[in-house]
Amino acid sequence: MKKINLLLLFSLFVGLTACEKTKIDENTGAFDKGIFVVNEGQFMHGNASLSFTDEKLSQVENDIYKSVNHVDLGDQAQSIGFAGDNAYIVVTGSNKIEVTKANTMEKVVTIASGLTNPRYFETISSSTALVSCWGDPSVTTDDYLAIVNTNSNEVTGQIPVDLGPEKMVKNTDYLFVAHQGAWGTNHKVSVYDLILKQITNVITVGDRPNSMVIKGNFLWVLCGGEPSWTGNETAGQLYKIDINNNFNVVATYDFAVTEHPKFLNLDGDNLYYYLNQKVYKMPVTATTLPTGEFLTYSGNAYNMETYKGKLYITDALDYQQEGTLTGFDLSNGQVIGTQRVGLIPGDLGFHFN
Amino acid sequence: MYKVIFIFCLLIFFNSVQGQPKQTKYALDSIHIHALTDKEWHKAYHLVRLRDSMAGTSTLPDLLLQKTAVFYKEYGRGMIAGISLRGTGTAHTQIVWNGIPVNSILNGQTDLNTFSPAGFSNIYIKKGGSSVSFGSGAIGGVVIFDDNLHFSPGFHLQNQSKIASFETMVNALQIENSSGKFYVKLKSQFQKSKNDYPYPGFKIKNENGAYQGIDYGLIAGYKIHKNMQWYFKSKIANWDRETSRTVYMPQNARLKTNNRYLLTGGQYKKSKFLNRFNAAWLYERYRYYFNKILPEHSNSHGQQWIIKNTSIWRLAGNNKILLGNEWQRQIGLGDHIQRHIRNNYALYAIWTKTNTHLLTRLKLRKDFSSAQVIPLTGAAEFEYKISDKHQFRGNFSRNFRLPTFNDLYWQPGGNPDLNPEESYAYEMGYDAVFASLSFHLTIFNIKSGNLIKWIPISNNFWQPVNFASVTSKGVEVSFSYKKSVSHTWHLAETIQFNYHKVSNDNTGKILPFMPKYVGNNLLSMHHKKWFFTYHFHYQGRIFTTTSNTKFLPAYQLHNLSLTFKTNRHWQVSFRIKNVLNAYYETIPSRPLPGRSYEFILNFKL
Repeated sequence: MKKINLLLLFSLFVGLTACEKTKIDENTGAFDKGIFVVNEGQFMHGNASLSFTDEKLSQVENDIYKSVNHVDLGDQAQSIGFAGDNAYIVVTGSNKIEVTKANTMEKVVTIASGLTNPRYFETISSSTALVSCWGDPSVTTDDYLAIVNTNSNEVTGQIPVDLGPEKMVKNTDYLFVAHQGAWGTNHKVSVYDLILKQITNVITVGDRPNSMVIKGNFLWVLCGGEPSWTGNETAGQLYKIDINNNFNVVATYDFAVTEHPKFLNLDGDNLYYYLNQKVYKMPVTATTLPTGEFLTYSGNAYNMETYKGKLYITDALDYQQEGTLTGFDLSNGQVIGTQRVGLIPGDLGFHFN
Repeated sequence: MYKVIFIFCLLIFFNSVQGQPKQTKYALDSIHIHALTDKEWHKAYHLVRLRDSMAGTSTLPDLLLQKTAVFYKEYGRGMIAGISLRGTGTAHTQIVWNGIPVNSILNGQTDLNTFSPAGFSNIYIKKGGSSVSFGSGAIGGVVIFDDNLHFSPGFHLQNQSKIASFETMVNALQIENSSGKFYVKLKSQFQKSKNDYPYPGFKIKNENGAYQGIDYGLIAGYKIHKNMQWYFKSKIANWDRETSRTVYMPQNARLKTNNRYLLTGGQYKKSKFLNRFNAAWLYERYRYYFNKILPEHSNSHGQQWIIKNTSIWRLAGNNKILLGNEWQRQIGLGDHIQRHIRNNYALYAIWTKTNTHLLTRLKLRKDFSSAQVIPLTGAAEFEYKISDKHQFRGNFSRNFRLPTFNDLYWQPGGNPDLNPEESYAYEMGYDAVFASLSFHLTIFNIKSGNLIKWIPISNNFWQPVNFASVTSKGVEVSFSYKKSVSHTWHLAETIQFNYHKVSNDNTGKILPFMPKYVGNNLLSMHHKKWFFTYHFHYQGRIFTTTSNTKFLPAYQLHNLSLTFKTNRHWQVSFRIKNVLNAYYETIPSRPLPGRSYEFILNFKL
């Protein structure tokens, strides 16, 4: 009897696999107003995804790219940018950008050639965008900005730059590229002149510039410094650079050697940054770094961004499960909501057309 | 389609059971247990012997998969591969080569695709804790490889050549000679493959997956006199592999690995006493080229010197005592590891008492290490024969695993304050063995604490910590049935099935990358000069997130092989692997090949 039961049991398992289900949410809705969350996914597991939520985080829709297009997004989605009616999802591991209609997420085209380890996307005109690219990360001299024609959605050229270009910000005259250093380390900000269409300056800043904002005529650059595990720990630094005066460094704010701040953001006249589970608020007019925190975050931020009076923090938890997105009201520091998003949530795309 | 084949297979088995007359001949499975040899010390566990006349050109994963229901993981065909026994990790299975544990001191594992199973006298898989006998890492079980010395005079030569899909060529040569006093065996296996298999369902190929490897060894033995022998054993493996892409991420990297195992020793044997002395040197080297066309690479080396002595006394009243001591000097060095040396010393004692029905055994081991405090380990075991056809067995053991050199010293991240992992394991088993039918059942539970896991400390900084406590419990069942339908038709059928539930004690969630169900079926038929086998392997779904929300689907593999023996020298085989062209992955985004073919020519002198 025992034998027969076991045989039945065994054959049951054969039956079980025949009816594997694939869950596809047909109710994809529109994505015209809200926040896109770029979920990086696990390294080499090909499970990057996109989530979409409203600014109050009252509801979330996960895996929207796959729901609409019925294909996976790829490996290590790094960031999202917008140009015209399209959203540009930069997928580092897969060396590509998925171009979709921003309001529906319907795929337009894949830009697959000319991109080696692309990181961030920034439009510089109605028909052009630049994408920071590491090239081969084991080679320190092949880093570049890819020039993307956003009408034809093709890479039309390359601008060689210093090691490890990452985040970019722009005003009407210049685009600034922070060189965090990819797999190594760097301490530079490249200046791309939007009129001359070339790199005109390279500003030396502190170690590992990780985030930048522009307020008026000043560029603020937050440098994380070398972390202790490098064996060569250096302090984090905040740089204030005068854009109109030859990119002179007008002020530097030094952190303690063991302090490595990140995620510099601007809301109104205040800068916000993150350091050791705390968010700090600093008026742009301040002459010293703030001493007390603005709010405390209980987890570990994987990314932090502000948008119109609100602050959003993503948390990758143990990097092996769906992370969270938590929103705070900057007027009072209170939590406005939290949602479970995808695996390793990082970049946020604010889309309110 | 697969259902038809499977039901066909079930029916054969079912009908045969119905017609089975009672037999009285006692034949405890096919494992030969010699007095005072190491095998005897594994009683009270279910030992499975892996034997395959085609082992010469097989890879170790092929062989393990065909003969056992183990969960295996492979980063693409021919790439890094490991097995998981009883729901433990790949570093919790110790590979034991001629009595020496050979898992890497750098990463704690043996890459099964760089360990050729060709030319061994015996290969066993023993599930359950074995730290007293094999030290660190023998938590889920051990896979034992033995090169025996054969002093009966004679010359043997065997050559196997294989041509397979994806431009794969394998050649395995084995030469043995014994003069009665002096024994020598030379063996080699060479493999080369373009390995550019298409990823089923995607318009891509495994374009960076070529590999090439050679594995060879010399075994020599000398009978000094009737009680004393000396031996030398070696295994050298050099591999050069590109690293397969994933579905969504191209690769341009290459991994070169070198493993060298050298062992010399001697054995002194009298009627009531045996002493065995071994001295071994193990070397491992990994060179990883992130971009295969560039010379830049990262390098790591590991070296171990081992001296081991075992003495066994047979005492009055069916008592046996084994005393062992072992000294290891481990040296790790590389681009990401500064040179570190770890000295370990172990002292262990085993006492066994056997009478007509009952075998009882107690084991105790104390380890001393220059880097860690290792807990006292031990085991209590029994085997009770109800009759000559039925027996119960059971054991309880405490086992450990040392942190690897990478865990301790890798820069950045290595954590020199790690403690060894610890586990308590117990199991109960029942065996019924008849002339043509056998049945084995094992229920086990392993509770592991201080498990080492690399976790994110901040955005890009990961560090290993003694993180989790995990419980693994489950059932293993196997049936074997043999029948001679007529003088020319013979049938054999083995079904194995494992269930294990591995959960994190803190969260209650199922551990990711661990299936609950694994099943295996091997049917073989023999008619005159023809041999036919049908192999079926089932692996249940595997969660890929700690929240148990995403998973890799279950898969089934069906393999067929047909062999024709022309005469006592020549034999040809044809195999079809993954007959139904199933899509399957054991690691996310890393598909393994669809249907493929192998042609094997075997020559024996």
